[in-house]
Amino acid sequence: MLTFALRRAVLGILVLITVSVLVFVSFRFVPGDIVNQQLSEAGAVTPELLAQKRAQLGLDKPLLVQFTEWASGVVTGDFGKSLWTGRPVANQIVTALVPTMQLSIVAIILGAVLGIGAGVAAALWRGTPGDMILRIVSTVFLAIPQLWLGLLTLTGLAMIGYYIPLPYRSFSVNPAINFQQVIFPAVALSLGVAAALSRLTRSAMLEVTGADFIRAARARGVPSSRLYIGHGLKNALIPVITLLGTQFGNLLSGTVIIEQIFNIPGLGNMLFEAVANRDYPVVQAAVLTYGVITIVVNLLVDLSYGIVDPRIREARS
Amino acid sequence: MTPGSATPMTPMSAPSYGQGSAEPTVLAVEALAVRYGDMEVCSDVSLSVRRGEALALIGESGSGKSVTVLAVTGLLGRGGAISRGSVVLDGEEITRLSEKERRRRGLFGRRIGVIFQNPSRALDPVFTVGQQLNEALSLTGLNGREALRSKAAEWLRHVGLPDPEEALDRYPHQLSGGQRQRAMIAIALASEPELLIADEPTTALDVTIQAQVLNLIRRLQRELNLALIIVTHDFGVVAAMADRVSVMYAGEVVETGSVTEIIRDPRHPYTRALLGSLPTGQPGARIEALPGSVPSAGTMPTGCRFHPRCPAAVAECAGEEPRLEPASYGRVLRCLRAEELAAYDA
Ligand SMILES: Nc1ncnc2c1ncn2[C@@H]1O[C@H](COP(=O)(O)OP(=O)(O)OP(=O)(O)O)[C@@H](O)[C@H]1O
Ligand code: SF4
Ligand SMILES: [Mg+2]
Repeated sequence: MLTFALRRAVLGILVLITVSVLVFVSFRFVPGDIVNQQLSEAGAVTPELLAQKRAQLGLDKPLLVQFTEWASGVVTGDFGKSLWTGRPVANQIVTALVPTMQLSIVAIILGAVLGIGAGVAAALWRGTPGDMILRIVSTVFLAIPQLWLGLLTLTGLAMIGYYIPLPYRSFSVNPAINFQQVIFPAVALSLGVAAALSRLTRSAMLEVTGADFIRAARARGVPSSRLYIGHGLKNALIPVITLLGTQFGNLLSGTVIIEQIFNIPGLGNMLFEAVANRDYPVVQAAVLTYGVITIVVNLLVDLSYGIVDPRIREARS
Repeated sequence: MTPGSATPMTPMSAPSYGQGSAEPTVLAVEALAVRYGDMEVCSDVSLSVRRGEALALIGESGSGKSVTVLAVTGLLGRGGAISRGSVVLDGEEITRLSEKERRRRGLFGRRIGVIFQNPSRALDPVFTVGQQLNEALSLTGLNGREALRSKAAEWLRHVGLPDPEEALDRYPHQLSGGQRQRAMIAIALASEPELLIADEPTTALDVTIQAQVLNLIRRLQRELNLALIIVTHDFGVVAAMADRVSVMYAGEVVETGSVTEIIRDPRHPYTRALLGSLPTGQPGARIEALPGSVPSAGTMPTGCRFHPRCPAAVAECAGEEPRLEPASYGRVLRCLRAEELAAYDA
């Protein structure tokens, strides 16, 4: 177990370093220069001013030096300051992380419940019209991009005369308003997840329910609910959890655009603006945060394998 | 030995040819046919077993032994259904009940216990032995953590698992094959059924422990006075385990009788073949091996299903279907030439 955790930690750190380097380097080559942007906003752009501003922001140093400075800051918890506002990036990240995490967690739970529920139902109703309908619906939702689903949701709500209240309120400030602000984007994000999960759950359940141990459990009088949910689903869960993990990554990338559409001041919104403004430290910190979330989710997925299957748990200890 | 010379004959509708036992009949299967889709995989199976009696079901692979016991237990699965005949348990007709109704009547576990061929596949790998044993125990009305646990441990001790307390918290993969089958036996018996069905309970096990597990089943069957149906394709198992035996061929029962009688004096040419003493229809001449294999649903021969392989077959055998008919000493036989062949041997 310890070596397993250690291996995962080392791997995670390597991934984070790689991602940071890639973003750091590639983003500097994206056309559009922050110094130019800031100065043109102020009005006058002269080569002297450009150089002066560049030096002031520390952008004149070699890329390697800049990266080492940034990285050593990150290690001590200092993510630098925004090139525009001058505020500490770390604070901004923490503030933006809350709505994003809330949205993603609500969405993934919705997606998991809907998807696994529909998958189990489709497996039990195999070959009936109910099964057909669920399969058609899931194919449709699998094909619609999250962006569309978001816009569709907004349009649909407007058509019935409902408008999501603005501005954004956090859950602790106003739960009722927060609920309305989160539930619709969460639904838009969850449907794709649910569609993918339901298809996999269906086939995994069909495979498991044909197994000898299900027949044996039925023979010893196990009630249907426990037969399918207890014995059936628990055995079908490993591939489902794996997909849930990769779907969470999908969902997280979806939040970037969904937060825009639904005016949620989350990490995605922040990243979106920071990219437009070429606010390098903010972009780097945001990407790093996404990286950490993804790694943590993968770790949770791996740990849950052990919870579901004693053979995996044993192999690790 | 002429047909109908000894014991009083029971009519065909209640084929309980025992040794005049007074115990009540637990299970009576009558002219059972089973289909999967439009394939008839069992065509005419009649058998019965009394309380305290062990019935062996023997036949080559594909003869329909498993399908028969699955039909009795209501576990045929997708596409499988009983198309003719009847299954009667304790005088109660259970031939065509829904799964829900079977559950309601306690047919799963409570009244019929099943031991499967491969304990590694019949135990759920992600549940402990104790959890699976509890599922069976709870059918008896027992509840409460402590009560369940001590009863479960008692069962594991009963089937000879070393360290039963500890075994309760083990997962199937942490036990050996033999221990797994012992656990399976405990699970099948924990709900206190009156009929135990074991479908080749030792074929998946190590040869060295097969006898132990068989002895255990036989011992418990006697102790608990159970009706037992044991499926096998080994006459050694029949001799060691059963009081009576039904021989199956191509989805039909071809001969039923007491084990001692049938081993001493097999009547049906197929039974003889299984026992390695094959009549050729010529006095004195015998051959050993049985060529060919069991025909399957699509290619069933006309007349007697055994005629293409039967060394005693005559022209008539290809045209007329023999019926299961009573012979001497409580025997039943499905052979057109039964009497003639008996006369040759005499
Ligand atoms: N689920 C099923 N669907 C279709 N056909 C089946 C099914 N189960 C069994 N059969 C067919 O029924 C026939 C009898 O099979 P069965 O398993 O009862 O044989 P068996 O006597 O138990 O053989 P073995 O000794 O190999 O276990 C075979 O031809 C088999 O192919
Ligand atoms: S009926 Fe004919 S073919 Fe069938 S077993 Fe008897 S002798 Fe053989
Ligand atoms: Mg079989």
